[in-house]
Amino acid sequence: MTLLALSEQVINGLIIGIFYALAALGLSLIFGVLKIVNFAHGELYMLGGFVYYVFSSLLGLPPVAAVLVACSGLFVVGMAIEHLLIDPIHRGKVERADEYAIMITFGLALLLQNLMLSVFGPWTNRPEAIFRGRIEIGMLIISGDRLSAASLGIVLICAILYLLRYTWAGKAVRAVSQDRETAAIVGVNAKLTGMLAFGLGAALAGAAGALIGPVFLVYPTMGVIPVIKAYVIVVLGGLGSVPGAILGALILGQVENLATVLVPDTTRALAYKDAYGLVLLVLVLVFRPQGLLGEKVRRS
Amino acid sequence: MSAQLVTEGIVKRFGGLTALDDVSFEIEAGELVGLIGPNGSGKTTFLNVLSGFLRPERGDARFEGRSIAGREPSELAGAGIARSFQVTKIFRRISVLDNLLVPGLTDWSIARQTAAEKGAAILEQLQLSRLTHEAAANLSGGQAKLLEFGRIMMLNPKLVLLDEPFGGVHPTLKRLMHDMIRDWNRRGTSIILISHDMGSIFNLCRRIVALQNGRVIANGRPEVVRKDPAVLQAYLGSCSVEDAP
Amino acid sequence: MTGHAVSPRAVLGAGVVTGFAALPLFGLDEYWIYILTIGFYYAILASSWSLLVGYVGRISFAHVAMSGIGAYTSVLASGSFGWPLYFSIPLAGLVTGLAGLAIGRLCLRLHGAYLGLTTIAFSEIVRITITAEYELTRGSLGLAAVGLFETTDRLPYYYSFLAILLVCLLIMWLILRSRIGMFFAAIREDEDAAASLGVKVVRWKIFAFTFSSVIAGIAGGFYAHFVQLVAPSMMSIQEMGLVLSMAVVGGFQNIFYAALGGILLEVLLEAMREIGEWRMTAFALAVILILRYAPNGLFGELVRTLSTRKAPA
Repeated sequence: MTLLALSEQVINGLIIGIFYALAALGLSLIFGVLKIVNFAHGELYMLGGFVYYVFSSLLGLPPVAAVLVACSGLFVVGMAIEHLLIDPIHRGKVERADEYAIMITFGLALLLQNLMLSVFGPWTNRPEAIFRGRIEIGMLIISGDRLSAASLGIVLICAILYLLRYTWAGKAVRAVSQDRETAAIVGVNAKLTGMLAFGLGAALAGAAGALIGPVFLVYPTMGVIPVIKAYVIVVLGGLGSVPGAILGALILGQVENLATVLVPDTTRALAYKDAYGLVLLVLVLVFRPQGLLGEKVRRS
Repeated sequence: MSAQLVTEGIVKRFGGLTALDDVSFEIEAGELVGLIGPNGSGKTTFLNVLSGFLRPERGDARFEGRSIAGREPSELAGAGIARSFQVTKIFRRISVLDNLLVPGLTDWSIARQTAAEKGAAILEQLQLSRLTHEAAANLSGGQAKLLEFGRIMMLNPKLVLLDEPFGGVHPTLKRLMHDMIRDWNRRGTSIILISHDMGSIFNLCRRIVALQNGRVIANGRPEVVRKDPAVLQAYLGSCSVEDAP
Repeated sequence: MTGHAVSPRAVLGAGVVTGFAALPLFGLDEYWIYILTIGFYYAILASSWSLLVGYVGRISFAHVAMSGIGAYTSVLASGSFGWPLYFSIPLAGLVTGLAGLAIGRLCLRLHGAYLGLTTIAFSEIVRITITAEYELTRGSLGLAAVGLFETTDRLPYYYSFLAILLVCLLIMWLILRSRIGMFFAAIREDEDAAASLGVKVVRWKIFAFTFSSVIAGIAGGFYAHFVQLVAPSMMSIQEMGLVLSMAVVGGFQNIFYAALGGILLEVLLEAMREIGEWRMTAFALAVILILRYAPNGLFGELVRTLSTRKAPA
């Protein structure tokens, strides 16, 4: 294939990678602070897409504003979820914390998915893009909606990284991620930090859904495959590692695109596309559960 | 006669940290040995190696002539090595009696009835009989520690490894635990006791091994070890060693 | 165990079984006989899942994939190779058992969420593979299967599935009340302590996974020749969510409550047909509420309130 076509594929892979990174960052953040894997993350992403759709296409808000509404809305939803469902674990109200966290977030995923199916139906919706049209860089042609979405995505990622590194809230998040008890002793409100983390994680997922909506359409089951991709990324990069999540996202974006292109039998290759990431996930989980950059998984 | 437990040159590393550095010593059958050392000296790591929870990078450990380094914990329990944990690990959502039945029934040749009778006798000894059918989660901290002892007794072990059993324990209970440890020892069970409680160590042990930074710095009778300058220095001249009875 | 000759729970259980056995004789509609038969299938899945999750403490989302593997094995063996069902269904159990053995070994050192993720990934890989291998499986269109019985009458299926459910429950119950059940509980409560006490943790974890998978696979095999159509959708995450809901709502810490949950939710699924998608929404909400406030499940809570009321001082 030509260098031009390859470059387009690579750029596409990069753009997809940025969206993955947004979703994966949220997952990583939640795991880092609350030590649980959020099985409902795909549905939070999907909710973000629907909020964006409702506010931009149905209510006529300008696209960027609708993205911000999606972010803030999901932020509130995330905090509510943490307070109602997750916090009980840390207050000792739950018997088997590990299984409870898994099953309740799984149940939440089912609830959100079916709720949206009931309200909106299974059909796909195409919300307004942030910027339509095509952008030409020399001989390269990139679709404007993807590029604008990716740019906004990068802004959000940088904002989160800045938040985590330089603000007090961010330091609290990092402290609680490392040692909840000690952080509490030095005055960090672990409970509020937990709520904040889940809220931020949900907001990031919602942002990813809102940004991808115009590109890949909004529908109730849109979160199922991407969340598995988010898991692959986060596990590959290392659960709890923020730079790892970004690294993993970029890697997966490329692997998928190139694998599909390079494998000869196109129909089967396409059918198996989602499976590549899954196999990668299983391999990493079994042979190197700490991923590339994550903390070593310790036994009880 | 060769020693019951022989460790030779045990080395255990965690990334860049060497937790155990060429640890070698022996235990005769029926000895009651204390293992002391400041925090981070490698005592629990050593216990974990002896009980199969960690595999050493180098060195060997032999129990009754057979190599035990790197074997599974359940195998070692079958070979006669039992241990307690620093944080009690009782089975919370099953009854106190069932906690004892679990080790009792790992030997398939023992019938349930027999194991239950033995369990009841042990509960009697531990003064826990009235809690027989109570969920283990409802036990107090001290009762939980006793239950752990009870589980060990169900195994009729030849060697018992105790990891800080007296942490935060009421004096009356501590005396009971001392009696039980001495009782086990009288019946021929070898015991390695890790503790920061110097009173208990000097009360019970006829030999003490001291570790610092993963190395054995002293190995001998209590009166000698407590005056050993290396040991005193390891504890930074702390009062606890001097104040022991 | 207590001094009673026959425990009140056993009487209750016998009553429930007799009730189900007698239902068709009291003029139950053909349609509901069919639905209850499906309910028995789900009861087998829900109870075997609860054995793994509730008793051994190993969370798995691969359960419906195992059922699917069993179903497709039997259909392919009896269809393409023309094997009779009394060969193809045991083969389904065997193949599923091997899959369960492999996954069980692979997942030994995984716990909690890592285990959950791996089993979801495995489940999806199986579903995607079966969908993709169109030549063999006709993909999403599914494969037709020959029926267990010649007749179109629903009754033989009803009683067969009830019998299979009871046999599965019996075998699981016997294992759980034996010392193996104690080892399971020990592993669930504290693996390290269990190992230090001589429990062969590796062996029993693998056994639990293999055993529950075999039951799911055989159930899948029978199910295929009952509805006479298998499709990849029977292995979807939605299906797994349904089975999980059934076990949780019934009471996932007890195989009998989980089984009842299977039957109950299948019946509700049909009874609430008019509200369409809202059914699963309602079930999911029930799962969340029960996990949070009544983890013993509906039947667990029911039995608890009944016994605390009856018991004299």
